[in-house]
Amino acid sequence: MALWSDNPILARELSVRLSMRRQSPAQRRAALTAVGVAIPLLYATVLWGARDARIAADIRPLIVGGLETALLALFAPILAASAFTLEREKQTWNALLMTRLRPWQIVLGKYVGSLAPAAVVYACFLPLNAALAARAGMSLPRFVAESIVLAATMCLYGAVGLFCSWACRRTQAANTAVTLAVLAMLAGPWLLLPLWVSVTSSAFNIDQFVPLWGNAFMVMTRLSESPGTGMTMADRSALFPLIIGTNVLLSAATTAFLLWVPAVRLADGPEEMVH
Amino acid sequence: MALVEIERLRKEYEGLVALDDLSLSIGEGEILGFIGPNGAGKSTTIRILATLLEPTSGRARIDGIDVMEDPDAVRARIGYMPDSFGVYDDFKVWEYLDFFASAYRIPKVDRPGLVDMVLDVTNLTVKRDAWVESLSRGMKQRLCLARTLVHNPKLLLLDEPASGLDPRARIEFREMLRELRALGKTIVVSSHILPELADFCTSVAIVEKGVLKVAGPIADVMGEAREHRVLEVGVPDTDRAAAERVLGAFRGVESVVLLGGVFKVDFDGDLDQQTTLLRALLDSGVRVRRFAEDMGDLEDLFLRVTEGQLA
Repeated sequence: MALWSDNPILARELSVRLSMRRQSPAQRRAALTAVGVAIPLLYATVLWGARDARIAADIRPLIVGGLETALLALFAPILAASAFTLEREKQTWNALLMTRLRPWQIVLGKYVGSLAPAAVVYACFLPLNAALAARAGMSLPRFVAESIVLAATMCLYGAVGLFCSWACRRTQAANTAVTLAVLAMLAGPWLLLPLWVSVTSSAFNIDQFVPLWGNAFMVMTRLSESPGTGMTMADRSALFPLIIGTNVLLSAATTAFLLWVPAVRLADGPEEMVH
Repeated sequence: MALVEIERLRKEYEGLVALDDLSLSIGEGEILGFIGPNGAGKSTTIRILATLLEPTSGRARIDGIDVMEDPDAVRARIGYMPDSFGVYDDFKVWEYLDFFASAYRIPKVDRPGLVDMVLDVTNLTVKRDAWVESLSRGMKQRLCLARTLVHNPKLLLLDEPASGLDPRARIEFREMLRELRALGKTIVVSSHILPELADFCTSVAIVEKGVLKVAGPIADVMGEAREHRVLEVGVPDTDRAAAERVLGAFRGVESVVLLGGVFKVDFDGDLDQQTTLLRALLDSGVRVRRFAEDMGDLEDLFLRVTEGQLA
């Protein structure tokens, strides 16, 4: 059985998290109508507001670096935080582990399934980002780099949520752990910054502070700034490609590690199962 | 041939001995009633057999496969229903079973027929398209049992399957276990409610304080566990005094009690002496309406072999 095709865990997670099968037809229609109105309205408002290149360049960091990054950095881990704990709380966990599913199938099925709603948010914003980028005169490679960093950020934060879900017995505990972890990841580097400033003798350049290279808000805000503002990371720092590369690699490596640990422990068998 | 072999199984939890060198053998097609008070070690044994718990020492084999050495192969041969179980409320009944059939790698093309079959065995066909959430506790119990059947296991491990069920649901559950036995399944069913096991178990194992007290076919175990036979002797009212005299004077009769018009005779003797007692009654002119050995029930047996201690 492949990891992706015919993986019942993935199919179930997608079905539960994306479909509204338990709702009545009226509730379904209402929800779809609300989404159908809200998204075009958001698009129309933003694109109307960003009529010229200058305004488009100004609001891109707010939309992409602020709103979208915040949504994904909070949405992805919180949704993943209940992936394992709900199974334990509902006492369905052992039944699942007794089947012939491989640990990687369980972990990846849970991970991808719980990430799906965040991926939908990402996909909804993508055309808007592209339109704003085109209007602000952003180059295609920069836009692609920005989209990759954003996707890597979403994957990383989702993996943090899944790890907390595996490590905690209760959803409430997992949610608390996730919140603390996200706060530490976002605020931690900024708290270290004054220390770095006080010990460095060179002229202060925030782009040279390596711990911030992994900070989603920092990188996304800088990335989404466009040439029109005259203050892009690329203009100010030759470190730009290194920062992007480091951010994506760090996110990918951390994500892989956070998924690898529960998969290996599940494969260990009984000790994990008694949870 | 033994399907389950347990050898000197021991499990300790931080100094507490939950299982103390338990050895047991269960033949194919048997329904074993695993009896003991709460905390006696029943669930621990079942969880070890289900590959969910590692023993401190000893070994357990199912169909010749060691549960610790090849848990995957063991899981393919067992269906485990825990004492407290959950179901996915956001599935329909058939979807729930299809999900587990898929998780057990049943080919997609075979699943619809299989789901219908287990629904039929567990009498849930009429609920095929109902939401799991809408089922009663008894039905959820049956659904959980149906889930354990989707991969056609040889051995069913049912830990307190009837707990929390109303009397009707219990009776239905018992009937279902009988059907499963007829299908050739070997079943280990634990319970501390004895009457629910007595009707359909072929053998019994009583465990207390982590120690196996007695095990074997029910009739044998009951016979062995008895210190004395209890005979029921029924005579007409007019012969009662004579019968009491004969019974009281017979060697081996420990006590005679009249209950509901029938003498309950506590008799310390073998089958030959029992025959001699009947002859003595008849020779004395007592007309005997009934003369039978009272086999007792599981409750008697349980009380006799246990001391009311927990692990």
